[in-house]
Amino acid sequence: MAWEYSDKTKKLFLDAVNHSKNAHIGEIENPDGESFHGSLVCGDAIRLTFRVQKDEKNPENDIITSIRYLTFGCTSAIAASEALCIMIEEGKYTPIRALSLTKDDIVKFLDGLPTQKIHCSIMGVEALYGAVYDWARKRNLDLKKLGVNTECLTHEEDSDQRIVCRCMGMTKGYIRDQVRDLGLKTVEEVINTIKAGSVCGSCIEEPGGIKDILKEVNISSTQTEQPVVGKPDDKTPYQVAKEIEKVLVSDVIPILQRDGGGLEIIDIRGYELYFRLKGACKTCHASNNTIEYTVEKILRDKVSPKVKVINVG
Amino acid sequence: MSNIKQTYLDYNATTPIDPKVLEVMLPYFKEKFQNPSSKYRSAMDISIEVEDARLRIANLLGAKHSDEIIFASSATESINHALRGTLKAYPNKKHIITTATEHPAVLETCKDLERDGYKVTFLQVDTKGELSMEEFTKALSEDTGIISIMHANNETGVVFPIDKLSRIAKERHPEITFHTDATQSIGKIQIDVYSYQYKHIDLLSMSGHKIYAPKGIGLLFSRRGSRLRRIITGGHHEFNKRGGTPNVPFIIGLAKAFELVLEELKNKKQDKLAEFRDYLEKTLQKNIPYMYINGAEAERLCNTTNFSFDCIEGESILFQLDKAGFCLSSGSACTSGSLEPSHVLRAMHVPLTSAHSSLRISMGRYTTKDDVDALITKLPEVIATLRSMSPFWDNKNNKPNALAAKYSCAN
Repeated sequence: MAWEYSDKTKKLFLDAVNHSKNAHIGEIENPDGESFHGSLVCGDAIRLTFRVQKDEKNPENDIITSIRYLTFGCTSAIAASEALCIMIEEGKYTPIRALSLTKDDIVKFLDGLPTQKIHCSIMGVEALYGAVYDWARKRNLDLKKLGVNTECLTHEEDSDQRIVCRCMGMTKGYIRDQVRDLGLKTVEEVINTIKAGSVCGSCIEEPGGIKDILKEVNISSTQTEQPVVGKPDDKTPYQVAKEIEKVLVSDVIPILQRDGGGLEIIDIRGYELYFRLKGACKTCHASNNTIEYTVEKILRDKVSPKVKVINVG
Repeated sequence: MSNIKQTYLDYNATTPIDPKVLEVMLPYFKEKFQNPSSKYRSAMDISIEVEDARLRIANLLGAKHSDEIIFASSATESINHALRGTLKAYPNKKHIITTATEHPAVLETCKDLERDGYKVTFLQVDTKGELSMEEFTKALSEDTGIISIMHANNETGVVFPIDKLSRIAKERHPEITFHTDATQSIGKIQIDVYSYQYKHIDLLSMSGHKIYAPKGIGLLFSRRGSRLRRIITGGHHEFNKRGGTPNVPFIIGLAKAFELVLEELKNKKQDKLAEFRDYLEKTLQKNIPYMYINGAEAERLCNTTNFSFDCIEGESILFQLDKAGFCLSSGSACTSGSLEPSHVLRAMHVPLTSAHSSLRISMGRYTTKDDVDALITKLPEVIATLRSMSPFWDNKNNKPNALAAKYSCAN
């Protein structure tokens, strides 16, 4: 899959690599705020340093006068770093006001980014948050007291701060928010957009991993968007039968087929499933009870605890 | 497009069509357009010419019978035919053996078959990129229906000993079908499928556009006696093995291209590529610190080399090289659609710290020393610039800094 960068993106990248006068490549010594975000392993990382013009009376009114970055990453990662620095210097932001910058501002400044590259702009913003937090610490400011939402800055011990994607250092809360905000629906979309789970992939399937987060977000969003009519158990016999059939096809029959067997639905009446085993399962009397138990357990978990299965052999 | 001189160093991706190939193809786009299956003189003449091309190709591959050559639309189609067609013919065999460094044409087909209930063994490679014979032997079983192992790797050029592997497989289980994806090695390594060395290979896939024929043509060599069901059903084309009207001009072109490339191989014209490669590797290693050559210790194709550089990212290298007119490939995550770094380099345990910056250079018929020199001049400059911007690089001492060292054992 190929993509094309906007002219603005290309120009900013070339400005940077050519070390042109207005580029923001570099590092400020003894900075007033600094941070490091990303990692070598994931293929993107940025070090951000800035200097402020100090307001002696009120540190809140410090103004960022210069900001520099060092970025390891692809063309768009470098262009996004450059864009961020230009916006901050030109906007004469106070560090606290700089927190209002979002990835969308960067994407807009670059005249758009390919969707696979959105994570590059996210990285810059995260680094900025980190640097502002560092500045606040150095200036003895309590951001929380100033009414700043510090959730994204601190790493307090709670379940949202649990690292899910270890390769990329992404927390549960972060992934969940991105999944919700960007409307991501599949693991692939998560990998392509925010890169969580893109390196070793071990966090995709594990309990509390990316799949679980996707499920959590997407279930709650469908619940809020489409209110359930009536009580959840108020299903018509048709709906129940449909659901049982669906679960059988997707979850039960493949298991039986692995052992050379199968299952034939004879009838579904209310919550009662009448079925017959086929193939290897049919002749294997020893396992019949186990199979019935397994089928019943899966259906009870996935459809309703009321389900009963009856093997009519 | 700009007027910058293009330096093409991506022959493993595709090759330009040789003018001599194009020339023999042209009549079949004009006056010789008839369907070779038709039963009038002009059509039958074309049919004869297609069969002549098939026979010539069979001879070039060392095949004994022209009906062992089945034309297809691409090597990918041939690979699908080989794998799916064989497994259909052996419904009781549910196991496939392949390697972790195959081209996606094989990998994805195997993964798809896995979803259909087949068990697939993906043989791992060591850091040199080589397979372990022991692992291979262990993987063989009564249940194995097909083995598919590439001849030469498209990213690193590492050559697998398919002659040995196929012999081992056949000695233990004569029923197993052995398929090789020879897309990259055809024209660079002489293969005679009936020679003592290669006689255990049952199926072989190859492509036209890697040997200066057009894109859109490939073929499957299927040894007489191999059981192969068809996967594209249709008319009685290709000895009833693959439906679809033959792509006459491309078949004629493929035969010509194959002749040319083997002639070149016979006359040792490709020795210059090995010289270029060694010169390129030696000079760059002198000029760029912390550069690695992936697969250098294994047997390799003469035209391919694969570099990695510490502390920078591949796409930003490519972007700058592209600006200067260089066409080459990277295994960087950011150049693929999936954002995952090259599966081949990962399988070779190339650390992620340098897998992100891999660069593949593949040379071919029209590569000159000037091309190589141009790259030697440009590349160190590009690498140095990006490193000066990297938070992992110590500019004073020109080496990775302490931050980078933290990650060197991260995987």
